[in-house]
Amino acid sequence: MQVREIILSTIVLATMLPLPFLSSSYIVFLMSGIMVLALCSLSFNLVYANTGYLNLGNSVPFGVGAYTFASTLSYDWPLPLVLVASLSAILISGALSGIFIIRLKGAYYAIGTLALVLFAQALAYNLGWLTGGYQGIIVNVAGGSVYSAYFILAFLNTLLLLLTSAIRKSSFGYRIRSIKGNELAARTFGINTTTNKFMVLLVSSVFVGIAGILSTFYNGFVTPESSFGISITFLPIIAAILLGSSSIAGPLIGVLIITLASEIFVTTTPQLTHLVLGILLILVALYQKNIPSLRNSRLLKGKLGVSGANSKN
Amino acid sequence: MTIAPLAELLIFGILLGGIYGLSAIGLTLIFGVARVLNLAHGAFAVIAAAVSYVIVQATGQNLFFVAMLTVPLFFATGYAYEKLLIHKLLPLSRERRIEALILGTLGSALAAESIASIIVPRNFGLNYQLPPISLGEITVSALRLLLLVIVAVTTITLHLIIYKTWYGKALRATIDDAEAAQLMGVNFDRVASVTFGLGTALSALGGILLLLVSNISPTMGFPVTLKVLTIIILGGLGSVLGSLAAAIVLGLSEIFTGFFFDTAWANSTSLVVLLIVLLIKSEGLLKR
Repeated sequence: MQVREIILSTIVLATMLPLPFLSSSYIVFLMSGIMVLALCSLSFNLVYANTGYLNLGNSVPFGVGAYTFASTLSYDWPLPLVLVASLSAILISGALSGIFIIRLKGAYYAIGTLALVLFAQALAYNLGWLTGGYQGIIVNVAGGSVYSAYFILAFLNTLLLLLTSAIRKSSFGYRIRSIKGNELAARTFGINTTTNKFMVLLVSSVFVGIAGILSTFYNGFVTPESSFGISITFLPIIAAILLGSSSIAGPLIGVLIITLASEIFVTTTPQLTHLVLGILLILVALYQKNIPSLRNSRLLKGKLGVSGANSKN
Repeated sequence: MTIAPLAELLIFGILLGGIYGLSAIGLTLIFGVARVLNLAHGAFAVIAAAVSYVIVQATGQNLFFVAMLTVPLFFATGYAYEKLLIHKLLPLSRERRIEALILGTLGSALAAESIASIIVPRNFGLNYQLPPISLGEITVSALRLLLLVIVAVTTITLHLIIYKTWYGKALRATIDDAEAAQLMGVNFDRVASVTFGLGTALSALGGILLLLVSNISPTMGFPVTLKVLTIIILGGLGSVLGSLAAAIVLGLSEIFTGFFFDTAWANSTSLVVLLIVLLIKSEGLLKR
């Protein structure tokens, strides 16, 4: 891990840890929401920045985690058993969808993962006996509060940041980045690209799934919209791409910008939220190259330049 | 089961498939020419339906007259969409281009969906009562037959445009090999803009016709985009006739799923079909 990244993380943690003791529960709630998205965004970027594969299906493990947690709790299972069940469900679904999408390439990968999301959403709407249909499931965890979720989320985000940084320098990191550089060449050099892609996808799914569990835990409910809606399916991806995907901490700042921007509109003019978000995205797409201070700042720039960001083909 | 309801289902399925097919041909042309996965394609269909619905409600005019106004309007929208957004993103380096196109088309989809739900904040649809036509035992709604005729005429016109005009020739050449076409004097920018206009107009027409067939929700842009993507993957990216055939197969399977199982699952049919196709053959069914 770079020295400046350690300094940055320390500053972030130092400002975040005392927050619950100083501010209103609304701020803690808002920050927890931001950290759920940040966890999803970092997980998405773990796959995207390293392998170059665009996984639009992040909300599948999120929803599996959230729904397994909520439905087993509603059957009065004890909490440890609920957690074991939820984690196993995340792992199984992550492995199954991994096996399915691992052979897809390029646009088909993106389409296949998006199809999985819409299929999972259809299951959530239609299997009412299990998922509660449109209403979803209301969860009440004894002793659960947004404060405990806040600290777990802060811990997990830090863990994922450290893990991402560690993976960058490991041989595993070099293997998955070689897939982004040129998958055929990587295979020619004896790298099992399928296994490596699968592994990084599984790690990413587990973190997203845990984000789903925690989100249900402190929100107190799960619905098809809260699991598979635009905010979980697309916001983390937008946040990761917003400031350039090659930086480790970029997704965090992207999530912060997007959530705060949309929060302002949600509280003032809710029906305009998606319109403003859409226009913001179009503007970023058009003028991203004109924001060199954002893309090339020392803080955000990826250090290991295997990403091929400047290659033209 | 007697023959009569089966025939009705068959006609309805073909009609639904034909409507999806219009939108799918639009997307497959766009993808073929510009290699852009236009995530806003379905949202354009929904917003076209919403705009037409509002005009019909406000003026009391017939939907078919209103469509003559809105379809060209969406040709202009698609043309401007390419000129003002897509065109500026295509020259970027490969990685930046992919990211910028995702952000740009996703942003357009969100904006279009949001505008659609502002102008019509609920599910909407129209119904015209036309006398049913009886052919022996089989009774068919005249409205559905009329729609079927519209779909058929549009497809034939499209076929003539693609195979009999200079633009069509340039379009096919660009789909085959954009660089070689440019070397032969095809103005790529112009073909791309016109194709985006044409594709968006087709999607808009699909959305407007769908108004008369089923209820439309202002937030169904992404599901429609995915349904259309399913069709062009089944039919082979860039293939017009393949798209139409795949669309009709999909329309029929949706109708029969709804009839034999449950209408709630009808919309998932395309997803299941897509997932199975990708599972068996990861690069789509038909190659051009």
